Amino acid sequence: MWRGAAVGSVGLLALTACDFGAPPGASTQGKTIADLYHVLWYFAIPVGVIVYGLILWSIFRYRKRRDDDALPKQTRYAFGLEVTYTVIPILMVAAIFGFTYRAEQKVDRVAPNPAVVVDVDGFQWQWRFTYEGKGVTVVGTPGNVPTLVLPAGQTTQIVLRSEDVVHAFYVSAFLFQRQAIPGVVNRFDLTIPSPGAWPGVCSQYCGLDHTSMDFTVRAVSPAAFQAWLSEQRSSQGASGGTST
Amino acid sequence: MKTSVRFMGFAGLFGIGIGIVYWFITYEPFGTVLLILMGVATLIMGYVVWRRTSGKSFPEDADTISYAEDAGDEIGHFSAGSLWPVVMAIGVVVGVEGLIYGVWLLVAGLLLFAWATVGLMQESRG
Amino acid sequence: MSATVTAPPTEHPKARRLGLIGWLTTTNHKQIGWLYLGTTFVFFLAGGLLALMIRIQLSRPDMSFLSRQEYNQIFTIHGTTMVFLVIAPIGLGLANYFVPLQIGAPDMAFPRMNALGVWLFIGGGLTIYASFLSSHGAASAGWTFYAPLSDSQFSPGAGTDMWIMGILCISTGSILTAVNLMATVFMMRAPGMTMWRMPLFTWNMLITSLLILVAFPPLAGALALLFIDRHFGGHFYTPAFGGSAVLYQHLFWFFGHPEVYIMVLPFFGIVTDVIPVFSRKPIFGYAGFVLASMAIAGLSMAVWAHHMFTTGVIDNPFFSGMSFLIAVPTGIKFFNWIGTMWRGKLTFETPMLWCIGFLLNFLIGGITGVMLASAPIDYNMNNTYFVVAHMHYVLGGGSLFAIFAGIYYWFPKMTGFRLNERIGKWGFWFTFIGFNLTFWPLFVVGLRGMPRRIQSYSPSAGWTDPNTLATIGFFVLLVGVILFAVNLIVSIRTREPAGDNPWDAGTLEWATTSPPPEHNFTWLPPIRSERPVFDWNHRSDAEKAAIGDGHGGSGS
Repeated sequence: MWRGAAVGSVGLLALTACDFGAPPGASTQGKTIADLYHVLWYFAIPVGVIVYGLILWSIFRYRKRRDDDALPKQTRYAFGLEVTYTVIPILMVAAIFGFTYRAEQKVDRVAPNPAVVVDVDGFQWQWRFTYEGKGVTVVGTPGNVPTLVLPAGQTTQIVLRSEDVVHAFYVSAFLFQRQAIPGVVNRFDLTIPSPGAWPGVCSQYCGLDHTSMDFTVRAVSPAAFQAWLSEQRSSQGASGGTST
Repeated sequence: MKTSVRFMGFAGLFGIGIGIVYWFITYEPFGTVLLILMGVATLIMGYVVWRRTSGKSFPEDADTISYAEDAGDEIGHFSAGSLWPVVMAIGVVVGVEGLIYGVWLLVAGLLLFAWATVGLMQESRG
Repeated sequence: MSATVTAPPTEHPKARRLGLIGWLTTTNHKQIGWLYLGTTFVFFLAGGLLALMIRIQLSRPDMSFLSRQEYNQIFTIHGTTMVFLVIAPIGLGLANYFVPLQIGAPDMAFPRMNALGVWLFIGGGLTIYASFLSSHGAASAGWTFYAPLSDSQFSPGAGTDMWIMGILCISTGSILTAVNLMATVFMMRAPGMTMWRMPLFTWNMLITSLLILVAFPPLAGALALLFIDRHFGGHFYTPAFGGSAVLYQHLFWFFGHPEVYIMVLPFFGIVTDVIPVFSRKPIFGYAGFVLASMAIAGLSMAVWAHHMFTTGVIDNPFFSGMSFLIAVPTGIKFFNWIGTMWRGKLTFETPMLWCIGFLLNFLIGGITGVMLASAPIDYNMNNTYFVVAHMHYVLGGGSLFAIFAGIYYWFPKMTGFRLNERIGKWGFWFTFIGFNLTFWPLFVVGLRGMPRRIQSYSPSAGWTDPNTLATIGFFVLLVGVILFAVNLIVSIRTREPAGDNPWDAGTLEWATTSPPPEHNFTWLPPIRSERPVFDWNHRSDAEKAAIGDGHGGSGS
């Protein structure tokens, strides 16, 4: 029995480390989502085990034996059981709703004083990043994926718009996407603790070259970010336009 | 028939109720209109059934009944077959193509539709 | 008990052979049911061919088996076919055939409108496929057809318009059939067939019909507004002129979410009719099941914007909460099914195998659905292959498996002979294993960030192996489908007679001959429960003495 408990505890501990296939969350908002996803598995696994267990048990235990033609007890209902298996799921989804609500408040919160504000405009079929107040714009072209450079450890506010059809800004490493809808202005925060680079895609089908609407997000130290900004400003000033 | 009326009554009240709750939680107009109208439409259906059936008893709702008691009623007229449904469908499909490809198709479709309508009415009368 | 109970007929009426005119002008619900089944099978093969092309294109990175133009049309029409031309119409077709039989009626309430419904469906489907031949090809805006992408500026060409018109025809046909079903169920039940004695397939078809009535008009509205925008200078969806792109999403999904329950409730009903037969017990918790179906239908009208969590303009907690609630009645149904099998005496003929497969697959679809219902989690998974996997698990692993259960269960009643059991079992296993091999890897690749509706992906994305496995799985699944077709051919050749009630089932359709005569019944057993035929066949000796053993005698 103790061995069983030990094996069980190791298994459960392993479960706490498991990310269940999703990215761990390279932004703080993404980490909140990854944690919530993790918690939902703690509900999904027991439900799955119990329901699959009951089905498989029934298949094996209640097979009709070859010469047994008598009818089994023709049970039609069991009121107490039915009430129980109605109430318990309601309680479970109430708990899941609680976790969801809390996580969503954190993920959707837009800080009043972000360090950087970037206007992200989606258009068929690339992205434009305009750093508000910094005089820097980055545009993607077919075959040339744009990079959204952001300061690590600080909060960036993204102001998301579309110039034509519905697009969506999706970075899987941040477990986050938001639609870019013409006529709608969406704002969200990205807070990236450590430097790194991650791919992004357009996740709302937007026509012929939807497949090509990729971009990259790169987080660098705040000092490197300022350096990058001034370098962009001078090269864009010289060429009189935007850079890619 | 009580079950049918109750079914639609509850569905209708649910729609209106959820619509009101939705409005005060979200203040979103599109969904509110859709939910409330859905509830009203379902209530209307339930009301019509209630008006037509209340006070009458129906053999299908009787707990125990023998076929002999119910024998002899004519339930309805079940046609052996009719050309008009397929003609009407062709008229509709051709007609809507007319909205895309040209008025002449729309006219052809409308003519077929009208012809089928007349045919169906004549069949009903006969 | 009854005064006069005559015997079940011993003579079988000859099947009428219909010529072309016969089929074009039929108003008989059984033949209209055959029209639905035949047409949806053809559309299923067409949609499956499109799926095959998609899976080949995505099997390896950077494939150019399909151009972007072709790919976009193909996934659009694949989705459209499976949603509008296969799953929902099969439900209506089986309902057409079996609802009148299950309630003891001679036909549907409005036979000619019934025919109109099926011809509008067929005409609409042909219109959509004809659009491949138009100048810009078929529609390519995705089966969800979001504006402004589907507007004339971004999707010029007749193909898009033909899609709209085809869907409008299909919608009209569905609405007419729903009206017919509701009227039939309300007003044409046999004496003693109270609502609470109806089989659960009929109950679920009634509830589905109400859903059709409230869901399809908003779709028709959405598409009519789109057509006005496209051709008559409307600006309903163009923000630059005061319109709203979000309006399209609200209208579409107000339809779209009930639509997925329209595609699932009939098949819950089939499974609920089949499992008791092969467990030799009545359905556990009949009333709970009916109430759960009603709860699902009602709640399904209030969750539409969980498809819009990432728009940023809707109240996510409201829709998350309502979406979580839907999991509860669905869970109740699982306990109904398990409770029916529990302490039963199960046998595993092919219909029951398909039901077990349904249970195992649909649970995965359901649990992943609860995850998607959590808005922050949907931020990660929306429009990725995780959603594609979820939807295919509920509609493919769920509804499609239940459809096969229904076909294997009811085929003897419709034709008078059986489907081959051995081929049926092989077909089930190939389909079950192939299905899971195809769609489980898509969960994995969706969690790794692979978005939907992309024509190719790069080798560095890390999406290659699951995609290759999925394509291999698809070929296994294909073998399963081929085995089904083979089974049809072999069984039609062999014609092993089935008799009136090969499964010892309980609902009224098994009281008549296989196939049923033109107006369905020449004899009905007394209806005192939800399984009148079972009650009649298993009546006690005392009852037999009172009635007479059913060979032309009259009772007290």
